[in-house]
Amino acid sequence: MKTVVKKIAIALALLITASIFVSLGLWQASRANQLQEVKRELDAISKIAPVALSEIHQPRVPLDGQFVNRKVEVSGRYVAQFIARGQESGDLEVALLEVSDALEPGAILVARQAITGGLTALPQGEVRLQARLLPAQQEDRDPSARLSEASNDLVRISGALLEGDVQTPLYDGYLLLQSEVSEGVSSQLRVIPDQIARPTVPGYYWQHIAYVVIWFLMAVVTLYLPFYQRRRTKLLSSNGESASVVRSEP
Amino acid sequence: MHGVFIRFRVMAVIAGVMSLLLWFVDLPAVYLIDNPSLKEQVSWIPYVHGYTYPFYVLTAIHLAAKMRWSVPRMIALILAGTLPLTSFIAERRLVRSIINKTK
Repeated sequence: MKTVVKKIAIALALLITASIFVSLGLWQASRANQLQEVKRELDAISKIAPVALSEIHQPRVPLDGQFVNRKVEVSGRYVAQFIARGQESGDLEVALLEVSDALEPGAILVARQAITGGLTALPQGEVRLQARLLPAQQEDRDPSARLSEASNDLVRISGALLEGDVQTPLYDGYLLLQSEVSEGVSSQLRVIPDQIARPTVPGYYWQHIAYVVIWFLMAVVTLYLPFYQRRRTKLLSSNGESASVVRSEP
Repeated sequence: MHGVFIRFRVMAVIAGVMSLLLWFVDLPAVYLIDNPSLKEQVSWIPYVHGYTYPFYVLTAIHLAAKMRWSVPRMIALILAGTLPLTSFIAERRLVRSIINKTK
């Protein structure tokens, strides 16, 4: 009776352990699928033709997630200039654009170009931009820099840092400049490599698939253990060895 | 038997090196150092680690079966591949015990 209870307990423990491993494998598989879905969505977004900024976004309104990464066109005039240091593409020149082709007055930050030295002169007149609309950065990229009257440094590209300093209502998010035309002439800029904002699903697709393989393998190994034990006992008894003798060997 | 032993030794060294790289290069680069380009450069480590470990597990099971080791001992050998250095320790102990046995 005791042996039966022990066998049932072992079988239950093994089944529970194996099912935990299978769940972990399925969890990793769902993360891999999530990453694939995100990639498909982003690829689709990047192929959509540009739209006017005013059609999809307004000042003082949180940026709608469905419009993140969209290519937009906008006209306006630059009114201020900053440096965003420590960005993925190095130090960036960021300008504040007062939008002129929207019904409501507003201004939006534009990551204009990569810089190695100081800031360059901004176009004075009206400019027409094509850019990618990205969400405002939430984490400081260069914590050593602080926006002050003496410094034009932005610790991150976010309109929230300018609240109170600028009278014009600000747009949520910022634009990553792709082309700029000023008085009918294309500006010669050190264009920032195109970036697409990615939702934070950590890791990489094939990494998650590797973990799926590992967890499923662990489940199989767990279910194999009783058979391994039975085979071992049979082999040892047929050789006339005792399990304890072999266990003490290397 | 010799082939099984050699296969386990090779996989123990590879799994050990990959564990060291994962724990002391990849994880600090991803979670401690805020440098996207460095993160990109070390992104191959979790892939390789992820795909070498199952092979380590299979060689460990094969070796344990050949040596007719007990289940707890086989599990200990499998788990040795998950932490840095432990697969090296397991491999060294195994070599030492085989040498002692043949003396």
